[in-house]
Amino acid sequence: MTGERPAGALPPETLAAIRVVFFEECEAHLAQLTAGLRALQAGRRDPEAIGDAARAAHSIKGGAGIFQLNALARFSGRLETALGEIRAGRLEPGPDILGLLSRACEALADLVAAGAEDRPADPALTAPILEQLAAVASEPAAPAGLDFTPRPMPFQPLRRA
Amino acid sequence: MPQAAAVEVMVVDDQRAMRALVRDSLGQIGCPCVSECGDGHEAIQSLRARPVNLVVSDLNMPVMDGLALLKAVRSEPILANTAFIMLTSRGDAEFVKQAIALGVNNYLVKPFTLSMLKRKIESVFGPLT
Repeated sequence: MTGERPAGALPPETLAAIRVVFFEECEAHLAQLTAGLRALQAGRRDPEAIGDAARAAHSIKGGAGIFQLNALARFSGRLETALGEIRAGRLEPGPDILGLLSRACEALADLVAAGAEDRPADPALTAPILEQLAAVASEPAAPAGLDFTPRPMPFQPLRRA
Repeated sequence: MPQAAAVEVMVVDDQRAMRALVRDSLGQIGCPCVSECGDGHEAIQSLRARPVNLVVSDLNMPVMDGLALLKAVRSEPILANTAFIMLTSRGDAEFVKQAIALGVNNYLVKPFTLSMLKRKIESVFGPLT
């Protein structure tokens, strides 16, 4: 990061309009998470449904990061990681884990509501769940340290009919 | 040294908010020619009919993800001059390695700033005027 805020220099009214769309989309993401959790509770280990749920958490994390909703980004990121571990078969979704995921989905919905209403969420409600999620699934490495040189490409204006 | 206004970009992301953010950010850095698609399948169909200079694509999408789209773009002779920047999140290291192996031109980690987006494009095409 450069110290510049994410999406810095976009007009405030533009960012405000995008934020509204983000919270509209959050409703669909929360519904997808709930559907994935219900499938797991019903004993279905459908990788696609778990993947959809993980992607929903991922989407909330990405948007929350843009708007500097750090608590929401951190929480949804942890939930995404836990779901990814289940999908990969590294975390067994037994009763304890399913209970944790259920509480996490409720807490995430509260965090989304707090963000949409522009009020602070109660960390006392989310911190214990965040800690438990961290205990069952550790965060993967960031790609920042990858050894990569950008690949230049000659620019050729397009000819349109 | 391309003119920013001449760079035609396709933004591919399943989230409307993220597409709007990238589109508006591109507009701010002088690239107003932007089209949008909601997944890789839609994108490759559109690119075959109407190539662009640059694809800025999310990695994690339903139907056809960013890696599959990159692979499809790299296998199309008509898209040989199409640059590809992958939008990723922290923690996507393994997928970024796969994107590098598939020939991605650069990647951009979310959340990003306007100057980061511009630098990534300039790392591919050279300074934008």
